[in-house]
Amino acid sequence: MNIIAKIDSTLLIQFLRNTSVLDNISPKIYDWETLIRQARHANLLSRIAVLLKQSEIFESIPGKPKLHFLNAIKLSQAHERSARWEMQDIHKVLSPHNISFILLKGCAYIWQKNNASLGRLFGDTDILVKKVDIRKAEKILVHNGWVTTKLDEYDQRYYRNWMHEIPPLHHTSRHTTLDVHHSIIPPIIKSGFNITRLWEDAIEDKENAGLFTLSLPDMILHSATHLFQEGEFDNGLRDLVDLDTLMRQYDASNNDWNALITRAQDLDLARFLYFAMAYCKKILGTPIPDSTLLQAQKNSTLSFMKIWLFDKLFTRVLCPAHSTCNPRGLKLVSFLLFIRSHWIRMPLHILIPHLLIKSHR
Amino acid sequence: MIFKYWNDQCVIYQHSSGDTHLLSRTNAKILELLRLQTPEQVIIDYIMSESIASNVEDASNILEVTSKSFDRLNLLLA
Amino acid sequence: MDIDSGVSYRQLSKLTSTSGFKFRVGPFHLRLTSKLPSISAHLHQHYNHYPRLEADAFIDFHLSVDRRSGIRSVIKPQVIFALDGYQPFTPLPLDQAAAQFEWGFNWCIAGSMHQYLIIHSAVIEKNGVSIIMPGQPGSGKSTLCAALLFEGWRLLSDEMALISLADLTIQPVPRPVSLKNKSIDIIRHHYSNAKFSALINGTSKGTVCNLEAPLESIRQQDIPANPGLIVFPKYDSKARPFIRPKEKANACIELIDNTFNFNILQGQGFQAITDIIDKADCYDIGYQNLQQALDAIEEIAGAQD
Repeated sequence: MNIIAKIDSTLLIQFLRNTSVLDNISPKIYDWETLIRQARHANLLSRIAVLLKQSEIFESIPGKPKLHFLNAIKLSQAHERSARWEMQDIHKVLSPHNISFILLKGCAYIWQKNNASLGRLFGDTDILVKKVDIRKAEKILVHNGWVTTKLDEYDQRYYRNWMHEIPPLHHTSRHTTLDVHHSIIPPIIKSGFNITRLWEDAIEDKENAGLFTLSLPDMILHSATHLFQEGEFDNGLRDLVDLDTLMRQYDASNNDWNALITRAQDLDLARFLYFAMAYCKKILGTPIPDSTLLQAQKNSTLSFMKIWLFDKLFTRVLCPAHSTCNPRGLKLVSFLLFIRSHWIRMPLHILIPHLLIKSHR
Repeated sequence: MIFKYWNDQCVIYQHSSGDTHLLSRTNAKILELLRLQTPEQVIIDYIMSESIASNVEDASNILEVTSKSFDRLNLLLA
Repeated sequence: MDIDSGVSYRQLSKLTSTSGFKFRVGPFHLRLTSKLPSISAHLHQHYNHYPRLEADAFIDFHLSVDRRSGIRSVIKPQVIFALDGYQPFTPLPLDQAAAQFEWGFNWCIAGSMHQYLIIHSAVIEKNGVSIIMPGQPGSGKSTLCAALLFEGWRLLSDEMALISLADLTIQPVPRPVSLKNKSIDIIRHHYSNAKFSALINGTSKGTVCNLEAPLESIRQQDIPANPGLIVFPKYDSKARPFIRPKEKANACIELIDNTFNFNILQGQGFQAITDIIDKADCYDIGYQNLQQALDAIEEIAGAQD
């Protein structure tokens, strides 16, 4: 079976594309077990559980699968509680020193309670501070129960000089992790991106001065940049679901696709928006007009050859990798994309020694 | 918060953090009364300071212990 | 419930290495695949009499325990436990496969079965009286639990008390009793008819092995128990033995500390724990040797009538 057919026939994908696909099935004979297995493997079990709970079919689901869904919902509720507590604590620590911060990714969705937060599990907290504040922020956090990761000199330099974040901080009593960024593109890359533009449109929380979230278009662009730049696709489908949800929300609030494309162009993130749109549409059926996609492709300035090559790689790595839908050659593809992500983050003369050092660990 | 009393003690469960605390019945009763008028953060700080203090103080003189608790609470509310 | 009459090692081995061995432990439906002889041997000794599943039964956990592939596997053979292809643990030496399966099964339950409050403890029952024994380090709960099985007590679990949030009953999940180091010798010494698996040396917990769960406990795996007693055992060879009623507030805190999924259950978990403490009588016991512990348990249980 070719890969597109495989994707189309995957129960998880069918459900994510359109939750009402289950309206016409018979709950007693539907293959809940496979859906659960695929979802668990993609780290999406809590999400589909929450979506199912909202549907009329939920009560008719047989006992055993229903228990798995209910438990997955409990898990995400606990994560949400934990995330809120983290964010409130970070605000309590940073605001007396007038350090503003933008919540990023999962915790931002949870804070805003937008559609992407439904059934979202929470891992690390990600925040963005201004570059000028980063040293001070680190000091203050360390004074308030956070500890920096022990790294050797090489890794310290990697983070502080080349990357757009400091090494992860760990909280001593809560055992949570905090990643503090000052940009979303590593400084080592030559790019027209300017982080101040994100701050300009960021939305301040009414009750918690100094706590910001990105505007919806910028949330989409950040999510796209994160997924297609980092080269880590362990949560690839989950990240794509975030993007699909945010873009549908954007579309539903009658925002204009052209405005999003223009914003991407202004921030020099057009390439990432193109990938996000192309794969969300292809895999999850996001209702992006063909004309919009074409414009995004043009703006990406990718050659036809590159588009074709990336298509082969991204389609494989983003589809569910469970044994019921596992494309061949996944390991090689993941490896190539990992290399690529480092390649675009670093000039070659730095990349090669870096990979050599890493491989000797 | 949930306050659960057994004999001379009280276990408090805090929903927002998931933390639990053990306090004497008297101190817990004081907290329950104040809860309606006091911001949650003050309650939490008070509980934390009580937990530390109760490890140090001699619990045999309830009156003295309780009045010291009041002092700490006053400091926080001031 | 009728126990299964079991199959030969050869049949079981064939099943496990092809479509998978499908069986029910307590309320959990498992399918286990493995090509390792040690796993088939473990299943044959310990799980051969658990109910089998129909072909179309819903499976809660699809598990595999297999040899790690790759160049390293030639020099230093290792075993990997996986739930649906996901590996939660680092690989262990191949001879620890059976232990890896048991720990993996624990992980599956504690990580996802949140219809229960899951407390790290042993649970036993006799004549309608149940005892939950939370497992702080140094308690000796495993040894005590194993010994009590030879004294007429039913095994509900040696590792995890599963308390239903719906009605606060204790759900049995009888499984091989995991013993380590000195415990193994103590039980062997006291009970000559005890049946163990082979010893596994060099694990993170030292030498471990599994004691067979009594068939009668497996037969009664669908009969829940009601919380009755909570006993916190403490082994100390130098201190005088004691039996003391425990302050419920302290018992509550200790039980919370021993609850695997307390953070996930939030307020509902707290409510369940306080309800159990309300219902149960709580004791601390201290003992210098196994006989004292057994006597203390019989005394406390006797007082319940």
